[in-house]
Amino acid sequence: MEKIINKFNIKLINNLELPPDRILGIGKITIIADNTIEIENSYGVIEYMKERIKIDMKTSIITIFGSDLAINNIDDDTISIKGRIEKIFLKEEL
Amino acid sequence: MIIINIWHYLCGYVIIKISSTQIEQLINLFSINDIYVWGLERLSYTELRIRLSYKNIFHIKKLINKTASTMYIEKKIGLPFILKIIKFKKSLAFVFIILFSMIYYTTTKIWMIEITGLVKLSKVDIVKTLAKIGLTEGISKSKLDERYIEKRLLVEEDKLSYAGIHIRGSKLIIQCKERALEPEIFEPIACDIIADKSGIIYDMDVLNGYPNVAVNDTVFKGQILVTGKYVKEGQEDKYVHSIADIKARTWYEKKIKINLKQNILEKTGKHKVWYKVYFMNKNLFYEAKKPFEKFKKTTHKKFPIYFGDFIFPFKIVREDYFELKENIKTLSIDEVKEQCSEKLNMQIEDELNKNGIILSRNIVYKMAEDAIEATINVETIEDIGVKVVAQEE
Repeated sequence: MEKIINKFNIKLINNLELPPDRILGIGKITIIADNTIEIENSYGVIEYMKERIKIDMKTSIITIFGSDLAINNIDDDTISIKGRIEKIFLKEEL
Repeated sequence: MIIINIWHYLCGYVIIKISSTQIEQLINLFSINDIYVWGLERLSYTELRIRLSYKNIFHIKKLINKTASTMYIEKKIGLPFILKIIKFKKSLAFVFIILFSMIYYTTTKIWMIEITGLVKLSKVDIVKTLAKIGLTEGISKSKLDERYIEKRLLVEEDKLSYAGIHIRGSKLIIQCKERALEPEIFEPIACDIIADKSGIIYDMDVLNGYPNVAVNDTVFKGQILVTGKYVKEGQEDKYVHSIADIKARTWYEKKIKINLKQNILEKTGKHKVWYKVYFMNKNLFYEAKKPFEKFKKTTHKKFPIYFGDFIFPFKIVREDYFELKENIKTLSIDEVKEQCSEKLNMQIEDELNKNGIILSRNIVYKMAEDAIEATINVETIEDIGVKVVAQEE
């Protein structure tokens, strides 16, 4: 039932051209060059290593691979990551 | 980013090293509890370094205890911590207070007087006049009445037509404008033209007025050459503005006597440099005797500490002393003749009117014991006409 409501919501928002990240709280990822990533609406850090950072995005887990990775700042819904980014896996099933 | 960093610095922040087996959980707890942390560094598997606001340190302690972790404050950075140090060190605070009050005190005074716009008048004379009025370096700004000083300066210095005073920082700027030469007598004022020197009229161009003399006439100083008064029988006297260009032959004779033996001050080559340090116009060090009996002195002053127009009253004066020695020398006849000629020519040039042409110059030298007597005779052609307001009867 919940999946159906979600699908309906997404369809409605797409038709009305509203920003889904604001209304549904869907994750938003911004990549700047190969050294900065900003993630909004995250649900926490799962793993934090210099070579790999895993972040919970409610529906999936984002895995960032690289070297000298570090969390630049963190507050209630935004995480900013800096370092040499090599790979990003957007969908890793929970 | 710089603004955020400045803000963090002003509010104060701490660098903390956390040892825990649940690093990720701790990070999530910060996020959930709305604790802003930045600059997270994973040092090892169990160690993490974070930066956070000084105010949040008490909140974080609870979370640390919850996760059975340990924390250690590595560094405290920011303005609140500096102020804390000052609070504990009373003597330091005292020094700061004295320093600030001194800086404030120095800003309330004038430490430099700058005079601009002078052409013929010397700055030294103006400074002396200002001192007479009561304006000197070190005067308080609150006691300064700018309009009064402007008025007094114009009264004391006749040659000034304008004086404007502006204060910029601890600098007082006086803008001066010298009075222009007295204007010529223009029409329609009735005037005569008189001779300002004796001579023989060489050439006359009378544009307006009635000539009293003709070419080749001998005229004396003060004689009316061209009159503005028109007299005709049966008619009333009329007065006009005389305009004429009158050239005359004039002669000058000057005498001078210069000794062959002369006292000449010469530099011996000895040179000493003194530095004087002034604070608020007071010499900080003992003033010693002058290094030489006879000397030539040059001074350069400098204000090394200044912020824009605010000058800190700390002045360094460099004085260069060059020793001089009096030597009685017997000059050769040619050298003395040259001196005579130079001085006589200078005297003639001072007296000669504008546009004057020297026709002939003759110098006669005479030996008189240990001296040379020189006489110069000069024949010139120059303008001798000067306008004067006609006295109406």
